[in-house]
Amino acid sequence: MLKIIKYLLLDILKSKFINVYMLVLFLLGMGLFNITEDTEKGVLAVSNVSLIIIPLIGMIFTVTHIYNSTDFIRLLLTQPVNRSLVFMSQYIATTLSLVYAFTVGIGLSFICFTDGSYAFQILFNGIILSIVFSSLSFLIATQIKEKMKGMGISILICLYFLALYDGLLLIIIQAMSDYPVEKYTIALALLNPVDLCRILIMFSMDISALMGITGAVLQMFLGTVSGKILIYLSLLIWAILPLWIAARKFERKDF
Amino acid sequence: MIEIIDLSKKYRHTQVLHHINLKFETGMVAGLIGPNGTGKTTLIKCILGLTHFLEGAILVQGKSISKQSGYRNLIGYMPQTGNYPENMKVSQLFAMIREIRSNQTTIDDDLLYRFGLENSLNKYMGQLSGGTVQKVSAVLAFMFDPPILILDEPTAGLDPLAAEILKEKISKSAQNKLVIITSHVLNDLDELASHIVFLQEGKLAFFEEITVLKNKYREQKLGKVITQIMGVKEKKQHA
Repeated sequence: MLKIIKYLLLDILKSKFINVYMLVLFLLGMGLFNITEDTEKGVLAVSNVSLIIIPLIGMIFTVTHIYNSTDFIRLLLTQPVNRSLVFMSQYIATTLSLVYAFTVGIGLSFICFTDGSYAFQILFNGIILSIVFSSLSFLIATQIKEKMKGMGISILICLYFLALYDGLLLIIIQAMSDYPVEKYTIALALLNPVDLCRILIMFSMDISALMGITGAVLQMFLGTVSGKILIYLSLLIWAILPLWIAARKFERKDF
Repeated sequence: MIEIIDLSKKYRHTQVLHHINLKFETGMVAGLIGPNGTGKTTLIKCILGLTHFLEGAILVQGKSISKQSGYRNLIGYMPQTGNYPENMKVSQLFAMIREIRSNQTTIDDDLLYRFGLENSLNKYMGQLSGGTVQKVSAVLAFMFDPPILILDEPTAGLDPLAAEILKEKISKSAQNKLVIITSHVLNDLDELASHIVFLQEGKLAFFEEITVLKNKYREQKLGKVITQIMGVKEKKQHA
Protein backbone atom coordinates (compact mmCIF):
# COMPACT_ATOMS: atom_id res chain seq x y z
CA MET A 1 0.00 0.00 0.00
CA LEU A 2 2.85 2.39 0.85
CA LYS A 3 4.13 2.09 -2.71
CA ILE A 4 0.82 3.21 -4.17
CA ILE A 5 0.45 6.03 -1.64
CA LYS A 6 3.93 7.27 -2.46
CA TYR A 7 3.19 7.69 -6.16
CA LEU A 8 -0.26 9.14 -5.56
CA LEU A 9 1.26 11.71 -3.21
CA LEU A 10 3.91 12.62 -5.79
CA ASP A 11 1.04 13.51 -8.10
CA ILE A 12 -1.26 15.34 -5.68
CA LEU A 13 1.42 17.40 -3.95
CA LYS A 14 2.36 18.86 -7.31
CA SER A 15 -1.19 19.94 -8.06
CA LYS A 16 -1.87 23.66 -8.19
CA PHE A 17 -4.93 23.31 -6.00
CA ILE A 18 -3.06 21.98 -2.96
CA ASN A 19 -0.27 24.53 -3.28
CA VAL A 20 -2.61 27.48 -3.72
CA TYR A 21 -4.67 26.23 -0.76
CA MET A 22 -1.53 26.13 1.37
CA LEU A 23 -0.48 29.62 0.31
CA VAL A 24 -3.96 31.06 0.94
CA LEU A 25 -4.00 29.57 4.44
CA PHE A 26 -0.60 31.07 5.17
CA LEU A 27 -1.58 34.52 3.86
CA LEU A 28 -4.80 34.33 5.84
CA GLY A 29 -2.91 33.57 9.03
CA MET A 30 -0.47 36.35 8.27
CA GLY A 31 -3.24 38.87 7.66
CA LEU A 32 -5.35 37.97 10.67
CA PHE A 33 -2.44 37.80 13.10
CA ASN A 34 -1.16 41.17 11.95
CA ILE A 35 -4.40 43.16 12.02
CA THR A 36 -5.36 42.05 15.52
CA GLU A 37 -3.61 43.55 18.52
CA ASP A 38 -3.46 40.57 20.88
CA THR A 39 -2.70 37.01 19.89
CA GLU A 40 -5.87 35.64 21.42
CA LYS A 41 -8.16 37.57 19.08
CA GLY A 42 -5.99 36.62 16.14
CA VAL A 43 -6.13 32.95 17.06
CA LEU A 44 -9.89 33.12 17.39
CA ALA A 45 -10.22 34.79 13.98
CA VAL A 46 -7.92 32.23 12.35
CA SER A 47 -9.88 29.44 13.99
CA ASN A 48 -13.22 30.78 12.80
CA VAL A 49 -12.06 31.28 9.25
CA SER A 50 -10.37 27.90 9.04
CA LEU A 51 -13.51 26.21 10.37
CA ILE A 52 -15.24 27.51 7.25
CA ILE A 53 -12.45 27.07 4.72
CA ILE A 54 -11.40 23.52 5.61
CA PRO A 55 -14.76 21.82 5.05
CA LEU A 56 -15.49 23.80 1.90
CA ILE A 57 -12.12 23.54 0.17
CA GLY A 58 -11.40 20.07 1.51
CA MET A 59 -14.62 18.69 0.16
CA ILE A 60 -14.48 20.40 -3.22
CA PHE A 61 -10.89 19.25 -3.71
CA THR A 62 -11.43 15.67 -2.58
CA VAL A 63 -14.65 15.10 -4.49
CA THR A 64 -13.22 16.55 -7.73
CA HIS A 65 -10.06 14.54 -7.28
CA ILE A 66 -11.90 11.25 -6.85
CA TYR A 67 -14.11 11.83 -9.87
CA ASN A 68 -11.10 12.79 -11.98
CA SER A 69 -9.26 9.67 -10.85
CA THR A 70 -12.03 7.25 -11.85
CA ASP A 71 -10.16 5.98 -14.92
CA PHE A 72 -6.93 5.60 -13.01
CA ILE A 73 -8.64 3.79 -10.14
CA ARG A 74 -10.10 1.44 -12.73
CA LEU A 75 -6.64 0.78 -14.12
CA LEU A 76 -5.27 0.10 -10.65
CA LEU A 77 -8.11 -2.33 -10.03
CA THR A 78 -7.06 -4.37 -13.07
CA GLN A 79 -3.71 -4.91 -11.38
CA PRO A 80 -3.20 -7.78 -8.93
CA VAL A 81 -4.18 -5.79 -5.84
CA ASN A 82 -7.19 -5.89 -3.55
CA ARG A 83 -9.89 -3.30 -3.87
CA SER A 84 -9.62 -2.25 -0.25
CA LEU A 85 -5.94 -1.52 -0.81
CA VAL A 86 -6.66 0.76 -3.76
CA PHE A 87 -9.39 2.50 -1.80
CA MET A 88 -7.31 3.08 1.31
CA SER A 89 -4.30 4.30 -0.68
CA GLN A 90 -6.48 6.86 -2.43
CA TYR A 91 -8.01 7.95 0.85
CA ILE A 92 -4.73 8.22 2.72
CA ALA A 93 -2.96 10.04 -0.10
CA THR A 94 -5.74 12.63 -0.55
CA THR A 95 -6.25 13.17 3.17
CA LEU A 96 -2.53 13.43 3.86
CA SER A 97 -2.11 16.12 1.23
CA LEU A 98 -4.97 18.17 2.70
CA VAL A 99 -3.54 17.75 6.21
CA TYR A 100 -0.10 18.67 4.93
CA ALA A 101 -1.32 21.84 3.19
CA PHE A 102 -3.22 22.95 6.28
CA THR A 103 -0.46 22.16 8.78
CA VAL A 104 2.23 23.89 6.75
CA GLY A 105 0.08 26.89 5.78
CA ILE A 106 -1.39 27.67 9.19
CA GLY A 107 1.58 26.25 11.13
CA LEU A 108 4.01 28.57 9.36
CA SER A 109 1.86 31.60 10.08
CA PHE A 110 1.79 30.59 13.74
CA ILE A 111 5.57 30.25 13.82
CA CYS A 112 6.18 33.53 12.02
CA PHE A 113 3.65 35.81 13.67
CA THR A 114 2.70 34.47 17.12
CA ASP A 115 4.31 33.11 20.25
CA GLY A 116 2.74 29.77 19.42
CA SER A 117 0.01 29.70 22.07
CA TYR A 118 -3.09 27.70 21.14
CA ALA A 119 -1.31 26.54 17.99
CA PHE A 120 -1.68 22.93 19.04
CA GLN A 121 -5.47 23.14 19.45
CA ILE A 122 -5.97 24.99 16.16
CA LEU A 123 -3.80 22.54 14.25
CA PHE A 124 -5.49 19.57 15.89
CA ASN A 125 -8.91 20.94 14.93
CA GLY A 126 -7.84 21.60 11.38
CA ILE A 127 -6.34 18.17 10.94
CA ILE A 128 -9.33 16.32 12.37
CA LEU A 129 -11.74 18.43 10.28
CA SER A 130 -9.72 17.72 7.13
CA ILE A 131 -9.94 14.01 7.89
CA VAL A 132 -13.67 14.13 8.64
CA PHE A 133 -14.55 16.02 5.47
CA SER A 134 -12.28 13.85 3.37
CA SER A 135 -14.19 10.81 4.66
CA LEU A 136 -17.49 12.50 3.83
CA SER A 137 -16.23 13.29 0.32
CA PHE A 138 -15.27 9.68 -0.27
CA LEU A 139 -18.71 8.67 0.91
CA ILE A 140 -20.39 11.01 -1.58
CA ALA A 141 -18.11 10.14 -4.48
CA THR A 142 -18.58 6.39 -4.06
CA GLN A 143 -22.35 6.67 -3.74
CA ILE A 144 -23.03 9.04 -6.61
CA LYS A 145 -21.89 8.32 -10.11
CA GLU A 146 -22.35 11.67 -11.84
CA LYS A 147 -19.65 14.19 -11.09
CA MET A 148 -21.86 17.29 -11.20
CA LYS A 149 -24.45 15.77 -8.89
CA GLY A 150 -21.73 14.69 -6.49
CA MET A 151 -20.21 18.17 -6.46
CA GLY A 152 -23.59 19.76 -5.84
CA ILE A 153 -24.40 17.46 -2.96
CA SER A 154 -21.01 17.96 -1.33
CA ILE A 155 -21.42 21.74 -1.42
CA LEU A 156 -24.90 21.38 0.04
CA ILE A 157 -23.58 19.19 2.85
CA CYS A 158 -20.89 21.77 3.56
CA LEU A 159 -23.43 24.57 3.76
CA TYR A 160 -25.58 22.39 5.97
CA PHE A 161 -22.82 21.87 8.52
CA LEU A 162 -21.52 25.43 8.31
CA ALA A 163 -24.77 27.36 8.51
CA LEU A 164 -28.05 25.53 8.18
CA TYR A 165 -27.45 23.19 11.07
CA ASP A 166 -26.82 25.99 13.56
CA GLY A 167 -29.89 27.79 12.27
CA LEU A 168 -32.06 24.72 12.82
CA LEU A 169 -30.59 24.27 16.26
CA LEU A 170 -31.45 27.87 17.16
CA ILE A 171 -35.01 27.42 15.92
CA ILE A 172 -35.40 24.30 18.06
CA ILE A 173 -34.02 26.05 21.13
CA GLN A 174 -36.27 29.04 20.50
CA ALA A 175 -39.36 26.89 20.06
CA MET A 176 -38.66 24.82 23.13
CA SER A 177 -37.46 27.67 25.32
CA ASP A 178 -40.11 26.97 27.96
CA TYR A 179 -38.66 23.54 28.63
CA PRO A 180 -35.27 22.51 30.04
CA VAL A 181 -33.82 21.28 26.75
CA GLU A 182 -30.17 22.34 27.21
CA LYS A 183 -28.96 18.79 27.64
CA TYR A 184 -30.61 17.66 24.46
CA THR A 185 -29.34 20.54 22.40
CA ILE A 186 -25.85 19.58 23.51
CA ALA A 187 -26.49 16.08 22.28
CA LEU A 188 -27.50 17.66 18.96
CA ALA A 189 -24.20 19.53 18.80
CA LEU A 190 -22.44 16.17 18.64
CA LEU A 191 -24.09 15.69 15.27
CA ASN A 192 -22.02 18.47 13.70
CA PRO A 193 -18.24 18.05 13.50
CA VAL A 194 -17.72 21.76 12.85
CA ASP A 195 -19.55 22.65 16.05
CA LEU A 196 -17.49 20.11 17.96
CA CYS A 197 -14.28 21.78 16.83
CA ARG A 198 -15.70 25.18 17.75
CA ILE A 199 -16.53 23.90 21.24
CA LEU A 200 -13.00 22.54 21.64
CA ILE A 201 -11.51 25.93 20.79
CA MET A 202 -13.88 27.58 23.21
CA PHE A 203 -12.78 25.35 26.05
CA SER A 204 -9.09 25.63 25.35
CA MET A 205 -9.27 29.42 25.21
CA ASP A 206 -11.57 29.64 28.18
CA ILE A 207 -14.00 32.00 26.53
CA SER A 208 -17.21 30.10 27.29
CA ALA A 209 -18.12 32.80 29.79
CA LEU A 210 -18.51 35.20 26.86
CA MET A 211 -21.36 33.12 25.51
CA GLY A 212 -23.75 33.57 28.41
CA ILE A 213 -26.03 30.77 29.40
CA THR A 214 -25.19 28.54 26.40
CA GLY A 215 -21.52 28.76 27.25
CA ALA A 216 -22.22 27.96 30.86
CA VAL A 217 -24.34 24.94 29.97
CA LEU A 218 -21.72 23.72 27.51
CA GLN A 219 -18.99 24.17 30.09
CA MET A 220 -21.07 22.30 32.63
CA PHE A 221 -21.79 19.24 30.51
CA LEU A 222 -18.91 19.02 28.06
CA GLY A 223 -16.18 20.85 29.99
CA THR A 224 -15.64 17.85 32.19
CA VAL A 225 -13.15 15.12 31.35
CA SER A 226 -15.88 12.70 30.31
CA GLY A 227 -17.43 15.47 28.20
CA LYS A 228 -14.16 15.99 26.36
CA ILE A 229 -13.79 12.29 25.80
CA LEU A 230 -17.30 12.35 24.34
CA ILE A 231 -16.31 15.13 21.95
CA TYR A 232 -13.17 13.35 20.76
CA LEU A 233 -15.08 10.10 20.43
CA SER A 234 -17.76 11.77 18.30
CA LEU A 235 -15.11 13.30 16.07
CA LEU A 236 -13.52 9.88 15.68
CA ILE A 237 -16.86 8.40 14.69
CA TRP A 238 -17.34 11.27 12.23
CA ALA A 239 -14.04 10.34 10.60
CA ILE A 240 -14.49 6.57 10.55
CA LEU A 241 -18.18 5.93 9.92
CA PRO A 242 -18.49 7.65 6.49
CA LEU A 243 -15.20 6.08 5.44
CA TRP A 244 -16.37 2.64 6.46
CA ILE A 245 -19.62 2.96 4.50
CA ALA A 246 -17.67 4.29 1.51
CA ALA A 247 -15.20 1.39 1.68
CA ARG A 248 -18.02 -1.15 1.71
CA LYS A 249 -19.63 0.51 -1.29
CA PHE A 250 -16.29 0.66 -3.12
CA GLU A 251 -15.83 -3.06 -2.53
CA ARG A 252 -19.16 -3.88 -4.19
CA LYS A 253 -19.22 -1.24 -6.89
CA ASP A 254 -19.13 -1.95 -10.61
CA PHE A 255 -16.41 0.08 -12.30
CA MET B 1 -7.19 -20.61 -20.01
CA ILE B 2 -10.37 -18.60 -19.45
CA GLU B 3 -13.68 -20.36 -19.08
CA ILE B 4 -16.93 -18.44 -18.78
CA ILE B 5 -19.79 -20.55 -17.51
CA ASP B 6 -23.39 -19.43 -17.72
CA LEU B 7 -22.54 -15.81 -16.99
CA SER B 8 -25.40 -13.36 -16.54
CA LYS B 9 -25.15 -9.75 -15.48
CA LYS B 10 -27.88 -7.32 -14.58
CA TYR B 11 -27.51 -3.58 -14.00
CA ARG B 12 -30.46 -2.48 -11.88
CA HIS B 13 -33.24 -3.18 -14.36
CA THR B 14 -31.51 -4.07 -17.58
CA GLN B 15 -30.12 -7.49 -18.25
CA VAL B 16 -26.77 -6.88 -19.97
CA LEU B 17 -25.46 -10.42 -20.36
CA HIS B 18 -27.61 -13.52 -20.79
CA HIS B 19 -26.13 -16.91 -19.93
CA ILE B 20 -22.83 -16.54 -21.73
CA ASN B 21 -20.74 -19.70 -22.14
CA LEU B 22 -17.26 -19.35 -23.64
CA LYS B 23 -13.93 -21.14 -23.50
CA PHE B 24 -10.75 -19.34 -24.51
CA GLU B 25 -7.45 -21.17 -24.92
CA THR B 26 -3.84 -20.11 -25.26
CA GLY B 27 -2.95 -19.34 -28.86
CA MET B 28 -6.34 -17.84 -29.63
CA VAL B 29 -6.88 -14.27 -30.70
CA ALA B 30 -10.52 -13.75 -29.98
CA GLY B 31 -12.19 -10.76 -31.60
CA LEU B 32 -15.15 -9.60 -29.55
CA ILE B 33 -17.68 -7.84 -31.74
CA GLY B 34 -21.28 -6.78 -31.72
CA PRO B 35 -23.41 -3.64 -32.04
CA ASN B 36 -23.03 -0.83 -29.50
CA GLY B 37 -24.36 -1.59 -26.07
CA THR B 38 -24.41 -5.36 -26.37
CA GLY B 39 -22.24 -6.00 -23.35
CA LYS B 40 -18.76 -6.36 -24.85
CA THR B 41 -17.20 -4.03 -22.34
CA THR B 42 -19.25 -5.56 -19.53
CA LEU B 43 -17.95 -9.02 -20.44
CA ILE B 44 -14.36 -7.75 -20.35
CA LYS B 45 -14.99 -5.99 -17.07
CA CYS B 46 -16.37 -9.20 -15.58
CA ILE B 47 -13.19 -11.05 -16.55
CA LEU B 48 -11.06 -8.28 -15.05
CA GLY B 49 -13.03 -8.27 -11.83
CA LEU B 50 -14.13 -4.66 -12.30
CA THR B 51 -17.75 -5.70 -12.41
CA HIS B 52 -19.42 -8.13 -10.09
CA PHE B 53 -21.80 -10.77 -11.35
CA LEU B 54 -24.33 -12.79 -9.44
CA GLU B 55 -24.99 -15.69 -11.77
CA GLY B 56 -22.43 -17.93 -13.41
CA ALA B 57 -18.71 -18.26 -12.98
CA ILE B 58 -15.47 -17.26 -14.65
CA LEU B 59 -12.49 -19.58 -14.32
CA VAL B 60 -8.95 -18.51 -15.11
CA GLN B 61 -6.59 -21.47 -15.30
CA GLY B 62 -9.33 -23.56 -13.72
CA LYS B 63 -9.82 -21.36 -10.68
CA SER B 64 -12.81 -19.16 -9.99
CA ILE B 65 -11.94 -15.46 -10.02
CA SER B 66 -14.64 -14.30 -7.66
CA LYS B 67 -13.18 -12.30 -4.77
CA GLN B 68 -9.66 -13.02 -6.01
CA SER B 69 -7.00 -10.57 -7.15
CA GLY B 70 -3.92 -12.74 -7.72
CA TYR B 71 -5.09 -14.02 -11.09
CA ARG B 72 -4.69 -10.52 -12.49
CA ASN B 73 -0.94 -11.19 -12.44
CA LEU B 74 -1.66 -13.17 -15.60
CA ILE B 75 -3.48 -10.35 -17.36
CA GLY B 76 -2.37 -7.30 -19.27
CA TYR B 77 -5.20 -4.87 -19.94
CA MET B 78 -5.35 -1.94 -22.30
CA PRO B 79 -8.37 0.29 -21.65
CA GLN B 80 -10.24 2.14 -24.35
CA THR B 81 -9.60 5.53 -22.81
CA GLY B 82 -6.90 6.22 -20.30
CA ASN B 83 -7.05 9.13 -17.93
CA TYR B 84 -3.96 9.21 -15.78
CA PRO B 85 -2.96 11.54 -12.93
CA GLU B 86 -1.93 14.81 -14.55
CA ASN B 87 1.13 15.51 -12.44
CA MET B 88 2.59 12.04 -12.70
CA LYS B 89 5.53 11.54 -15.02
CA VAL B 90 5.42 8.74 -17.57
CA SER B 91 8.42 7.13 -15.88
CA GLN B 92 6.71 7.40 -12.49
CA LEU B 93 3.61 5.68 -13.83
CA PHE B 94 5.70 2.79 -15.15
CA ALA B 95 7.64 2.60 -11.88
CA MET B 96 4.42 2.55 -9.89
CA ILE B 97 2.89 -0.34 -11.82
CA ARG B 98 6.20 -2.19 -11.67
CA GLU B 99 6.30 -1.83 -7.91
CA ILE B 100 2.71 -3.06 -7.65
CA ARG B 101 3.65 -6.14 -9.69
CA SER B 102 7.11 -6.44 -8.17
CA ASN B 103 6.77 -10.22 -7.98
CA GLN B 104 6.96 -10.31 -11.76
CA THR B 105 10.48 -9.99 -13.08
CA THR B 106 10.09 -10.43 -16.82
CA ILE B 107 9.85 -6.96 -18.26
CA ASP B 108 8.99 -6.45 -21.89
CA ASP B 109 9.43 -2.79 -22.80
CA ASP B 110 10.00 -3.46 -26.47
CA LEU B 111 6.91 -1.37 -27.34
CA LEU B 112 8.23 1.59 -25.37
CA TYR B 113 11.17 1.92 -27.74
CA ARG B 114 9.25 1.08 -30.87
CA PHE B 115 6.72 3.81 -30.10
CA GLY B 116 9.61 6.16 -29.41
CA LEU B 117 8.31 6.91 -25.94
CA GLU B 118 11.74 6.91 -24.33
CA ASN B 119 12.00 10.64 -25.04
CA SER B 120 8.72 11.30 -23.27
CA LEU B 121 9.58 9.48 -20.03
CA ASN B 122 10.14 12.75 -18.19
CA LYS B 123 6.95 14.38 -19.41
CA TYR B 124 3.88 14.65 -17.24
CA MET B 125 0.86 12.56 -18.16
CA GLY B 126 -1.21 15.75 -18.38
CA GLN B 127 1.01 17.07 -21.17
CA LEU B 128 0.58 14.08 -23.46
CA SER B 129 -1.78 13.94 -26.43
CA GLY B 130 -4.59 11.41 -26.55
CA GLY B 131 -2.68 9.13 -28.91
CA THR B 132 0.45 9.16 -26.80
CA VAL B 133 -1.60 8.26 -23.74
CA GLN B 134 -2.94 5.28 -25.72
CA LYS B 135 0.65 4.27 -26.46
CA VAL B 136 1.46 4.42 -22.76
CA SER B 137 -1.56 2.21 -22.04
CA ALA B 138 -0.36 -0.28 -24.63
CA VAL B 139 3.15 -0.38 -23.15
CA LEU B 140 1.63 -1.04 -19.71
CA ALA B 141 -0.52 -3.90 -21.03
CA PHE B 142 2.46 -5.69 -22.58
CA MET B 143 4.99 -4.76 -19.91
CA PHE B 144 4.96 -7.97 -17.86
CA ASP B 145 4.71 -10.35 -20.80
CA PRO B 146 1.40 -11.68 -19.45
CA PRO B 147 -0.13 -14.92 -20.77
CA ILE B 148 -3.49 -13.18 -21.22
CA LEU B 149 -3.96 -9.87 -23.03
CA ILE B 150 -7.23 -7.99 -22.98
CA LEU B 151 -7.33 -5.06 -25.38
CA ASP B 152 -10.31 -2.73 -25.57
CA GLU B 153 -10.32 -0.93 -28.93
CA PRO B 154 -6.51 -0.98 -29.06
CA THR B 155 -6.01 0.87 -32.33
CA ALA B 156 -8.59 3.61 -31.80
CA GLY B 157 -6.82 6.95 -31.51
CA LEU B 158 -3.42 5.67 -32.60
CA ASP B 159 -1.70 7.07 -35.68
CA PRO B 160 -1.39 4.57 -38.58
CA LEU B 161 2.27 3.85 -37.90
CA ALA B 162 1.72 3.17 -34.20
CA ALA B 163 -1.35 1.07 -35.02
CA GLU B 164 0.78 -1.09 -37.34
CA ILE B 165 3.47 -1.51 -34.68
CA LEU B 166 0.84 -2.52 -32.14
CA LYS B 167 -0.83 -4.97 -34.52
CA GLU B 168 2.52 -6.55 -35.30
CA LYS B 169 3.19 -6.90 -31.59
CA ILE B 170 -0.22 -8.49 -31.03
CA SER B 171 0.18 -11.07 -33.79
CA LYS B 172 3.67 -11.90 -32.53
CA SER B 173 2.33 -12.38 -29.00
CA ALA B 174 -0.50 -14.55 -30.21
CA GLN B 175 1.64 -17.67 -30.52
CA ASN B 176 1.95 -18.31 -26.81
CA LYS B 177 -0.78 -16.11 -25.36
CA LEU B 178 -4.48 -15.67 -25.24
CA VAL B 179 -5.52 -12.32 -26.71
CA ILE B 180 -9.03 -10.91 -26.41
CA ILE B 181 -9.72 -7.81 -28.51
CA THR B 182 -12.80 -5.71 -28.90
CA SER B 183 -12.85 -3.57 -31.98
CA HIS B 184 -15.20 -1.92 -34.39
CA VAL B 185 -12.49 -1.95 -37.04
CA LEU B 186 -13.23 -5.24 -38.72
CA ASN B 187 -10.19 -4.98 -40.99
CA ASP B 188 -7.95 -5.04 -37.93
CA LEU B 189 -9.69 -8.12 -36.61
CA ASP B 190 -9.47 -9.74 -40.02
CA GLU B 191 -5.68 -9.45 -39.79
CA LEU B 192 -5.34 -10.42 -36.14
CA ALA B 193 -8.15 -12.63 -34.92
CA SER B 194 -8.33 -16.39 -35.11
CA HIS B 195 -11.81 -16.56 -33.58
CA ILE B 196 -14.82 -14.28 -33.51
CA VAL B 197 -17.15 -13.87 -30.55
CA PHE B 198 -20.33 -12.18 -31.69
CA LEU B 199 -22.54 -10.70 -29.01
CA GLN B 200 -26.01 -9.43 -29.73
CA GLU B 201 -28.29 -7.89 -27.13
CA GLY B 202 -26.32 -9.51 -24.37
CA LYS B 203 -26.55 -12.98 -25.86
CA LEU B 204 -23.79 -14.97 -27.45
CA ALA B 205 -24.78 -15.16 -31.12
CA PHE B 206 -21.80 -17.33 -32.06
CA PHE B 207 -18.22 -18.19 -31.22
CA GLU B 208 -16.48 -19.48 -34.31
CA GLU B 209 -13.14 -19.76 -36.01
CA ILE B 210 -12.68 -17.05 -38.60
CA THR B 211 -11.77 -19.46 -41.42
CA VAL B 212 -14.87 -21.53 -40.74
CA LEU B 213 -17.01 -18.40 -40.92
CA LYS B 214 -15.47 -17.32 -44.21
CA ASN B 215 -16.05 -20.72 -45.76
CA LYS B 216 -19.60 -20.86 -44.51
CA TYR B 217 -20.57 -17.53 -46.02
CA ARG B 218 -18.21 -17.87 -49.01
CA GLU B 219 -16.61 -14.48 -48.41
CA GLN B 220 -12.97 -13.38 -48.32
CA LYS B 221 -13.46 -10.48 -45.91
CA LEU B 222 -14.65 -10.55 -42.34
CA GLY B 223 -16.58 -7.33 -42.88
CA LYS B 224 -18.73 -8.92 -45.58
CA VAL B 225 -19.34 -11.98 -43.41
CA ILE B 226 -20.54 -9.85 -40.52
CA THR B 227 -22.81 -7.68 -42.69
CA GLN B 228 -24.34 -10.85 -44.14
CA ILE B 229 -24.98 -12.26 -40.68
CA MET B 230 -26.46 -9.04 -39.41
CA GLY B 231 -28.54 -8.64 -42.56
CA VAL B 232 -30.03 -12.09 -42.09
CA LYS B 233 -30.83 -11.38 -38.48
CA GLU B 234 -32.50 -8.11 -39.34
CA LYS B 235 -34.67 -9.75 -41.98
CA LYS B 236 -35.74 -12.35 -39.45
CA GLN B 237 -36.66 -9.64 -36.99
CA HIS B 238 -38.77 -7.79 -39.54
CA ALA B 239 -40.55 -10.90 -40.69
